Amino acid sequence: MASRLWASRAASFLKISTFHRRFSSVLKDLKYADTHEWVKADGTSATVGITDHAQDHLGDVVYVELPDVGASVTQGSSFGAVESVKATSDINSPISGKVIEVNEELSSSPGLVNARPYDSGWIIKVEMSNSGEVSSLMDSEQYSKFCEEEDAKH
Amino acid sequence: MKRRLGGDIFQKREWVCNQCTLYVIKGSIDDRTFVSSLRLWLHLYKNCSGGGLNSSRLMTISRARDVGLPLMNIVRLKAMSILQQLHLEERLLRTSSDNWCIINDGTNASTIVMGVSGKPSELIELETVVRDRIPVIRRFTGGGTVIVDGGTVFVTFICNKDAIPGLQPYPRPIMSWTGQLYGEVLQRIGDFRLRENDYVFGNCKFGGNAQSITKYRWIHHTSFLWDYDVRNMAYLKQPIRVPEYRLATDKAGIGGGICISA
Repeated sequence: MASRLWASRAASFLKISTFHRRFSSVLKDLKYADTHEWVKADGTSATVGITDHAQDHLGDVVYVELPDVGASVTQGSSFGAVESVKATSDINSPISGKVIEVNEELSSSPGLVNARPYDSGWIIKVEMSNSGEVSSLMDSEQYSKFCEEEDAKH
Repeated sequence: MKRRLGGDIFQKREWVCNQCTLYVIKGSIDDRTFVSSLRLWLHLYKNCSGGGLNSSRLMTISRARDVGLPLMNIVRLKAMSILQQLHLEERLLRTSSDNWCIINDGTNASTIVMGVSGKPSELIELETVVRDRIPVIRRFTGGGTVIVDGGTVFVTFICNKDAIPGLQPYPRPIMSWTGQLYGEVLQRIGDFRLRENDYVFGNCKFGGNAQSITKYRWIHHTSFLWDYDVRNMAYLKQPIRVPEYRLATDKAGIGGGICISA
């Protein structure tokens, strides 16, 4: 972490763009969207968050805009946003349904999205309207390859 | 001269040279049909005086089509209200599929603009702001709090995610790209650089910037404090999160402003 910080500062002084080449972690039992959200299905409900790849590229999260409980979410559409490094970035739902719970902890500790993106950094829980949508998402292997290809393009 | 274009009224305005024309929007910009009928011409700035951007970044429409590159529409405004400008930007971000560069030379009234998560009690001197009736706006992008006025130059890029070859649509790469672009223009003035997410000349903050990234597009907007009234800075509190390079500066350097004349 310290060496990365030094490298980033050196690059900034020398006016060079830096590129992230660390390998982001993925979990085998999750499914992934190409917009870098993960979902863990449990029967008809599902937990959603953003991936390690996403949080690493976004930077330190300082604010999470959460939807209201009861709000509808649609696969591929935005339901909230995270703020990091002067930017708000939309969070898109990997599945459709109704929000049954939001992670209130993120209001006081938005950094959980960075520190623990796959457990205590979860963002919403959804009662799915079409559990079949989960099968259209990427598994861990496909997602890892997707991230590598995306990073290699830039 | 006024002429109808796509059903909306635009006022023709002479651009910086006599070889091209820029249609400047006057009046209401709330009509969504206006956006779809807007036609702007890009021009190589190389031979124009007063151009603000490096000419190599711009291409004529015919040349751009020949090489298959996306176009960048330029909207140049003068003293537009910052609230109207933000409305326009969010509308273009969410409803247009074109790339845009918006330049607003000053805004019509001193206004405080906060980021999406800004808390007024932490960021502004509420008593004096209310007493002096300074408008306060919460914008849709991230970032900190600025107070803008007629001396502020606003520059905004609204782009599709694949518009810039090799640019990853994340905050730091976007900031790096815009920083390099501005550097090409502003290096002639001083030691301009992107430093810990601020645009600076040396140790002096010259401009803040903020972004919003959606599924297919991103916006990056900057308020350059080309000139400012130092008394306005008294309306702002010191932010909780201060970049390290500013921790050692005096109060005049914190919160904005340039240390050398432009």
